[in-house]
Amino acid sequence: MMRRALMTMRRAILIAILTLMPAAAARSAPYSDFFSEANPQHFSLTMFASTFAGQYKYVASHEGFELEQTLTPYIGLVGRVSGYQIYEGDGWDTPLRGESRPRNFGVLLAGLDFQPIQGTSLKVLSGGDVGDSDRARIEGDFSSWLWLHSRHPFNFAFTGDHFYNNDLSGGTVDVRTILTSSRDATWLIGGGGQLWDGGNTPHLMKEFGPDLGIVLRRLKTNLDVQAGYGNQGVYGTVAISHHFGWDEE
Amino acid sequence: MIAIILASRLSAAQDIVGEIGKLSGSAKLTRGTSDLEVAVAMPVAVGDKIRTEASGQVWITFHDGSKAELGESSSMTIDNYALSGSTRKSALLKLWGGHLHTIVAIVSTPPVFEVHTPNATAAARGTEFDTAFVEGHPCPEDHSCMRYTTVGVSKGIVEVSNPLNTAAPSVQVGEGYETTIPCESPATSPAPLGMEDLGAPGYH
Repeated sequence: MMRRALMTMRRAILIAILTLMPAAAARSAPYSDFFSEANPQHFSLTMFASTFAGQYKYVASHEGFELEQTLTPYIGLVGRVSGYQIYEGDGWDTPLRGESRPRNFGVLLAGLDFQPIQGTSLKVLSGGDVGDSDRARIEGDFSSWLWLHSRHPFNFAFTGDHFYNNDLSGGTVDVRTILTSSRDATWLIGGGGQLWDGGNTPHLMKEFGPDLGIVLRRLKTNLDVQAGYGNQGVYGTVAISHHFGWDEE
Repeated sequence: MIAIILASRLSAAQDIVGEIGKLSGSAKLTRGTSDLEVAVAMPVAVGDKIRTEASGQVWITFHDGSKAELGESSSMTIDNYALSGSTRKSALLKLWGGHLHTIVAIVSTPPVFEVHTPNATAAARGTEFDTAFVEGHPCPEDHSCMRYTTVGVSKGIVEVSNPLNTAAPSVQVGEGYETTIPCESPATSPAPLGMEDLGAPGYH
């Protein structure tokens, strides 16, 4: 049902793009197919879960799934459904004011994923919260792999969010490289952290630390851990995701 | 059992170079004008064409100790497999489509084991590597190219070139790396195994 709705939405957006951008569609290489329908189309599902614990005042868990349907070779339609459980307040990704009782809310986001070059993706999403938070939010996710054909390709990624419930803006930044890779697993090492400001925060807050990741290639599963230090003391985070993909011949 | 007996008779006059070691799902073997259902322990000979169904996988064990694992929806032929007793003199497998994982037994003289696709030649000795030939899907390196080969190396070194572009130099791919050969283009510089997965939507 959801897939059919996504297909309908995909076609509607594709028609809108083709109608509004006829001149661009006629442009020659290298992006002459920028507004052409992707062939074959690809549909993917990513399930994810993560937990975050800070030394002071913040513990959270986050889980859900993301669907992506290609529109053109460079643009995909994205929908994400997730749930948050926050046990304390004032962290980097909470639209809630600090309170001691556990708070639960769901997040519904949708938008577009632009992939202008190989290994680079920019997602622009907007949507809203339901539950203990119930206002709108916007999000941008950028990831780019540099020096793909080198011994240690380098990834730069950041996300940015704004929560209208408490006027808080937050973001993550991450730089990583491939340590080693085999038929079974790819190991990544790097560093990253979180920044947030607005809402109740007195000033720009930040925390950073090293991180380690493994991609279990046959299982299509990623596991990432990060630990570090910042304005709210020591923190640690663990994230796991599992990816499925289907070509639509 | 009937397939094994029939295959043995058919191959009596041919060069038997190995046998089916393991089978998952279903697969067909074409020998001359005969189409046979693949079965475990069935002998394989030079000239045989093996095709797997959508959920089929075939493991072939050659008499020199080398192994080839043909993935789902794939097809290959044993173009050449020269043995002297159990010592390999030369070997050439042709991958027409899909995925082939090869574990090449070590011999003393290089290079005596090759996998060809319509646009790539991978030559190795004493190594383990994966070859995939994809048609009808845009190449990650060049969206305008709809037929490409990838060669990923798990052990040893494999030399890869594009026979459709003889002017282009070959590329040596080491352990933990892979190369892509889009259409008539040269093989790319090696990238770590799995970069395609990491660059795919949904990774972050």
